[in-house]
Amino acid sequence: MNNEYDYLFKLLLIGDSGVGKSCLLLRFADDNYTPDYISTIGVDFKIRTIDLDGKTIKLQIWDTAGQERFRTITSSYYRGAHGIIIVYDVTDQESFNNVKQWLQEIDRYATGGVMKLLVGNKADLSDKKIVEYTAAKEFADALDIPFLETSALSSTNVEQAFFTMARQIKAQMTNNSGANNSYNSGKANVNLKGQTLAQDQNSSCC
Amino acid sequence: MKTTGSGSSVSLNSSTANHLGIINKNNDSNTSKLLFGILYSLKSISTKLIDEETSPISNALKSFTLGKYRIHYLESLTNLKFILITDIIIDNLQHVLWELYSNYYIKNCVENSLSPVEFKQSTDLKEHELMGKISNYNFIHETDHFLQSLSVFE
Amino acid sequence: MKVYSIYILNKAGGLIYQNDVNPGLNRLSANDYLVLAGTLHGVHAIAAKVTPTINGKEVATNEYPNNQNAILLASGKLQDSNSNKSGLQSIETDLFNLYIFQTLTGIKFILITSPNPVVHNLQQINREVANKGELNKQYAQANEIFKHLYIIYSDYVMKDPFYSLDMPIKSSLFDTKVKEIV
Repeated sequence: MNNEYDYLFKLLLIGDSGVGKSCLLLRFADDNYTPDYISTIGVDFKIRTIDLDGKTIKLQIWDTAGQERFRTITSSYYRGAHGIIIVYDVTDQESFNNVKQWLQEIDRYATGGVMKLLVGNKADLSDKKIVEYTAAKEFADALDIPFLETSALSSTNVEQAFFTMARQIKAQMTNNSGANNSYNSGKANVNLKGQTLAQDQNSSCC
Repeated sequence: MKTTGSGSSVSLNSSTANHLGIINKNNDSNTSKLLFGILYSLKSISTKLIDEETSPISNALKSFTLGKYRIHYLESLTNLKFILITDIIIDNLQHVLWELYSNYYIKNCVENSLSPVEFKQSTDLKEHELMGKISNYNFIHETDHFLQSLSVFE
Repeated sequence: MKVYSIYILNKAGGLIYQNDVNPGLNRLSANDYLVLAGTLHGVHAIAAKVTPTINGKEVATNEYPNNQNAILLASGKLQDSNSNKSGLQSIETDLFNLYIFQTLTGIKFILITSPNPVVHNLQQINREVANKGELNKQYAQANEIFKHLYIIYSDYVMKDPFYSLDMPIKSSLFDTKVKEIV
């Protein structure tokens, strides 16, 4: 029976092809074996089980193919994602420039208010590094997206980022379903209170 | 339509055949790659859900339905894939596919001493295509005749 | 027709309910089931995109008929709650059949059943086409189950105040109701 997990979060991994999206998660996922789906249906799945406040959470990470031919297909994978991780290659300026396009895709297909994270990969290749940390950081700050640099050698901060993301999603979730705790994640919320109508309003009609 | 094991398409669209087999015009490479992805995934699902040790036969994909179409599927031991696309009201066509394979394909293409000539690497092959399309007149003619003789063919 | 398993996928393709009602299928790990669900979701999406064409013309596979809204407003009821008109609908293999039903909100109900009886004789097949073959008969049966599933899902999951949307379903009441259906 389906009692092994309490929460299921969908995280989406996007970015140009060749930026090393899949390597990013090799150590993070539960099991290292991966069926080769990505080249056939444009998505691969990595799953990580974590415990948070006594609840078991499955993070299902949808690792999408960056190739153009899957573009129409991958757009349908955005639906219902809780978090989206945009990856670029620090040794490839083009992949960083394309981050803007990926962000547009997110706006077009994903749920509003989805968590985002920008990751610069292959940071260990410092001699070939083209995209500077400060430039990327500035870009991310301007858009209010958390940013970090990583490499396959040191994936610890990725883990950290994922845990933080999971915690935020869960917090949001419990607040949505729970009482009217006004949870403020720094995003603009829709004001449902409205304006109180002035009592002495003179209406011309009756 | 008939596809080879590598996913490159050698098509003979028999379900809409009027006179001779028509080559599927919609077969641009991206679509066929995606179609291959569907087949690959469905096949892996069919094997994964069945315990190989306890089941007497290995589980094979027979057909699936997309939209208004039913895709009838048969894979030979040599990984040749025989596919018929029909309306969804058409039921099981496994035996038709088997007939196509065992009678028509084997007779006209495999047991044909001229097949090295007929299958010769033509110069206008697109990338990823391993071999040319079947051009054997007898095969095309007889399969068409066979399919049209079926009561499902109207 | 014997039902082996029932899965429910949320709109994102995540497996939120899985119930092996009858034995017959291989037991996989929870992660494998999640991958399986995601794959089916992906295949469904691709299938909807690569709709075949006849003579170069797109064949209309509208998810909903044009007068859908009018019908809805007039009757308050949907004619057909299955919005799965262009995606993957069924898979038949030697040892099981699988059916997919998608609601308007994108939730997928998946049913895995025993395979339909094999007909060994070509003549018999041809005759059966006339009176709706086995595949379609079983497809109709599956649709009947889907309708009931959708109803109990709405009643016992959606109306559960402690259920958070798109998350795993852990209601034992729903479990019992599912068992009653199959």
